[in-house]
Amino acid sequence: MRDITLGQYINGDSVIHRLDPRIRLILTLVYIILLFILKTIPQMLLALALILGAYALVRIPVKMLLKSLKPIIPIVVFTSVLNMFFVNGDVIFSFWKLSVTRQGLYYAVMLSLRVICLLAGSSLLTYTSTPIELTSALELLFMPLTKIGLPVNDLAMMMTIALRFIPTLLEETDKIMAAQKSRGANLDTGTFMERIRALTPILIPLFVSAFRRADELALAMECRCYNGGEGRTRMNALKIRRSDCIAVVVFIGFCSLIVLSGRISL
Amino acid sequence: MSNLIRFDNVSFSYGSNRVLEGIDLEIREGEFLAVLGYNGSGKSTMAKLINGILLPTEGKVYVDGMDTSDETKLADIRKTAGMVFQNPDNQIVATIVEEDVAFAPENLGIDPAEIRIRVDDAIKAVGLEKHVKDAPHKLSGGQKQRVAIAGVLAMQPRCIILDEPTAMLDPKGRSLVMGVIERLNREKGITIVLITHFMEEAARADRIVILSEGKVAENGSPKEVFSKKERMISLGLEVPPVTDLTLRLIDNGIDLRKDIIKPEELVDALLEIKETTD
Amino acid sequence: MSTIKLENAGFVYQKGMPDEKVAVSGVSLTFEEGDFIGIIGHTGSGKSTLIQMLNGLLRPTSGHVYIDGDDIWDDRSKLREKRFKVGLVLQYPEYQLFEETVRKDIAFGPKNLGLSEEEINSRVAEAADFLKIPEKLLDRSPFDLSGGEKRRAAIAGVLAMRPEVLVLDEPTAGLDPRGRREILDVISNYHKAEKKTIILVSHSMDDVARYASKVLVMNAGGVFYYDTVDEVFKHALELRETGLNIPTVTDILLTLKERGMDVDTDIYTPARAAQTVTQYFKEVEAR
Repeated sequence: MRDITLGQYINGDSVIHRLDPRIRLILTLVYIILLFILKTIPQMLLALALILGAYALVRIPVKMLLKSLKPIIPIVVFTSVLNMFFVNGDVIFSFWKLSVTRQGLYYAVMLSLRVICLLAGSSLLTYTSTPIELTSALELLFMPLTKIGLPVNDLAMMMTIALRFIPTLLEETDKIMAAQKSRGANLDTGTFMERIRALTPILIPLFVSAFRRADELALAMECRCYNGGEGRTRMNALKIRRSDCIAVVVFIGFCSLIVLSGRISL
Repeated sequence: MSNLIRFDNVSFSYGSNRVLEGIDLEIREGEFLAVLGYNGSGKSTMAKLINGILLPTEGKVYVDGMDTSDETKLADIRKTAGMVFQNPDNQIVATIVEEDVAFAPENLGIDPAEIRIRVDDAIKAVGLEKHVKDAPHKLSGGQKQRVAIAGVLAMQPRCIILDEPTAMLDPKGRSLVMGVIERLNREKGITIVLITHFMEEAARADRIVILSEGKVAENGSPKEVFSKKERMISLGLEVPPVTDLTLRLIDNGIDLRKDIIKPEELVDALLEIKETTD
Repeated sequence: MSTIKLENAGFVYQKGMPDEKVAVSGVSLTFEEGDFIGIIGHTGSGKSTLIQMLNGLLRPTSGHVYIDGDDIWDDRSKLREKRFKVGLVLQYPEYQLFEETVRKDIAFGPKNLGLSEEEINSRVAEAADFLKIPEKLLDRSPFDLSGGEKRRAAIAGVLAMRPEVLVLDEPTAGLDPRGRREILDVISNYHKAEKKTIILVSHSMDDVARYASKVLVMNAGGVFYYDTVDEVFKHALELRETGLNIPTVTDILLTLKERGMDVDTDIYTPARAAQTVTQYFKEVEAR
């Protein structure tokens, strides 16, 4: 449980790893929008090919992708089956009271492909970006909003700290649970209400500890001259480079081709 | 050598609870000072008074001539006197080692290229070159504590105050952290104020100050302080095992100096006696 | 009274995953009732994993754990009952305090045992007495206590369950010298008074040498030595070679011996070290 890595970053030095995280984030968004524009299965397959190509660039084994797809398979199957049976259209075959239509089948395949691409695309972002990169990317992208009074720097700092402390607090939860179990706390059986009540001995120490940590962290940050976001510089300041521009052009090019291919073939 | 830190008749109270009373203390530039005392003797309060986290209720604290109650000097004071705390988990801000080390210089608004140099230097000084890109929660306690020291070093402080930095570490982590502290003091001339519960660690300092009930109870070299075994015990402390053994040997009539505090000193002294008797 | 027996016990974290990690392997030993056992070893030597197997918090991925001859995992419905025979005080136990008052917190364990109100009260009083927690502290919030008091309150919470075997994982971590001595004395007194088995995990060889009768030295997930304190310290040189912190005085004696002084080295207290060195000089003089 303690190894839940938010956004399972895979250390690497691929072309995609080296892109500016803002570009990575924007291109992922573009890809997601693309998935919702596409109307035909061949286009969807091209979009799948595009993302698989990107995975090949990063050298992430397809196995990993399949592993991350695993949890959503039931949802995909379920909605596909629903679509298959409940979309009206030309009946291909039917049994009992149910009938499968051509349109239904088409929708089901489209939907499955879309979900798979969606997940593959967003996973690629988290595979190639550290949470901290994403935070800085978001911070910079939202920077204009400071003008309307949104404390973007502070929000980004909060996000960073949250990411930093998630593993620590998970570990702490494990320890507290072990301690209370040793004192006979019964966490595994009982009615719903009993179980909720049984959580008190876990939650209170956890909150107390989180506050204590927050206190100490605030003190340590103060000692290291933290004074809010103003006047801060960044060691790894993000810079858009030529390679980023090339990536944008190439990627947008591919996307346009995929969109256009729909026009041509139909 | 000049004074870097000066406590001028300092008292501090939390509400009606008097924690420190009439402390007069000077810490020289380049000195390695250990502060001892049982829990609640006011050690941590003293540490927090040095870099202006707390302000004295009475008296003044000066860091490099700057009065800690002068708010305009606060950033200068904090980067002159950096602070490391007991729990390594609760002082690391970022999710990557080098990002964390960069935190303080980033706050100071230093130029990115300069930060890079400082971060690399600081990480090298604590011997964590192999872990630059690691996530802090994957490191051992001793490694995390060295990240915290590097994070302070990146401010290029002249003094580092460490509040029980080894209390939560295993023996290996403890000795690595102590090694780093001693090296910074000896090679970089950084003034060290080390608050500790481990007598062996205090024995490695230039000077020991013992706090008791908010006052300075002892102030002297480790040799002076540790040779008073009864006094140490009455202050809720103990003497290092080496000193304990030495004092027992003296009681048994062996001709040793009372102020032996390091194992190698005792070994050498005993071998010397052996030479002369052989 | 209870005996804990491990038979070829092993534990692997993330078993079957690419990042699986063997924490303990092939440990076979018996903790006899009434013994005071010290466990030492590096961080990552498997100490913490081992003790969590003793009360069924972790299920061994191989081998067996027996309490009084029964495999604790044979019948899961009896696991809780078995667990209560082994009281486990984890590291920094004060972080498990949660009740409104110290009294209620100490009563948490006994309450889970399903005892009568009367019995609970007498156990709380008894445990508080052992841990030297004054009556007036019992009705305060545990969060208002000092560090050392919190630690003692947390240990009292486990003691109040009257376990047959008391396991403590570094109970003195982070305390000042006085606090360390107090805790260890309390544990030692409890051992003497109740004759219960004590298992003390510690980084301090000095503490283990002073209080324990047997020592288990763990190394790389296995048993390195398990014997009486005297026997184990006959191997002080080997212990030092694996990088374990041996008691300072033993270290000094070893160095003296290496440099030609014929002193005993299976010694771990300043008093006996002083004896052997004095003895040596007397013999030299006599010659």
